[in-house]
Amino acid sequence: MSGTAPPPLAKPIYQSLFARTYSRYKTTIYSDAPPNKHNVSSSHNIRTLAWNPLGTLVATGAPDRTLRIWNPERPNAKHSTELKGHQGGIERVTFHPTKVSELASASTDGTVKFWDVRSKNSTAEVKTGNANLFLTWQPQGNGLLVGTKVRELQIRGGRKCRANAE
Amino acid sequence: MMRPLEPYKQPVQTNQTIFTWPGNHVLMTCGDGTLKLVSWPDMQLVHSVTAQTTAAYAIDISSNGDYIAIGGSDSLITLWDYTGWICKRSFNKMTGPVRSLSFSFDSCYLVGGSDEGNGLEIAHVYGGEYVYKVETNSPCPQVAWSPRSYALAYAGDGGSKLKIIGDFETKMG
Repeated sequence: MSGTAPPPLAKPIYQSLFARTYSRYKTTIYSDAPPNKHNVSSSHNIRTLAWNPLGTLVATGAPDRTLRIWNPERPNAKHSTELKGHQGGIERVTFHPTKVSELASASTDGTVKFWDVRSKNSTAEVKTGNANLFLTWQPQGNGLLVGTKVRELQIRGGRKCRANAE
Repeated sequence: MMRPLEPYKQPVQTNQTIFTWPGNHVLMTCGDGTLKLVSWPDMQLVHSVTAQTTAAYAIDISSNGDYIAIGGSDSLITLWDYTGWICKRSFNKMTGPVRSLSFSFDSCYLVGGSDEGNGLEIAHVYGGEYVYKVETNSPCPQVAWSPRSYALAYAGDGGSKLKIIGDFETKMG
């Protein structure tokens, strides 16, 4: 991560105080629909959402291919970033476990794309050849597991990983 | 950078996967109702238990590694100690299929998302009781807690809008 110190973890809330504390919290709405459009298609509904490792960004993905990155402190859509490129619905988004600006997205278009939020570009792509349903990073960022519709798990690993036998 | 390895064909559909924190094992919920632990990346089976009677749609692991939570189409959330292989407890307030699960950063609270039933019920993991319900005007299938605070992101208004509950006065802390 970058040279500045990460923000401290929040103070824990004890079980008996949770309701009282949490009820004071405010809810912020992040909407990218035009204000006077009332019939937004349900394919725009959020299918997957994920935080980056420092809790400074949230990514959302939808069946209509929208992949959007929000800064929680900036609810206006013009401050969000849309990552374009997938040709199918976004089934899962997940940030790299240790890099705050990098994420991966799995799509029904048969690809997993890697993105850097700062450049707004896809930095890499792997083709699984089938509709992708889920993906999960190895916690140290040494690879990830992709599940596809044809009952396959594909592993994308770093240099140390061996090909598996099955 | 990212080298593809051979695809691993499975005899049964895998529904969800999550790594354990040391990063050398994967927990998988399968279509035959089992919870399996396999080594990574060679995917050798280490252990398998029958965990679910229905398909599991969601899985999450607590940050301290004590538990994983599994939720599925029967609306039940079960908490598993995957070293002793026991189901520690279950949470049953969900009224529809569990579509997502999230532990809080301190491992103490758990919330699930569904596409049926309004509101988000937050439970205390170790105490086993529900502590708070976030009122919503529609079902919220996707939920995710911040990794560093109690800020909770969810898909609100039928899933059309991202909403985040947080202590914004102290900068999401």
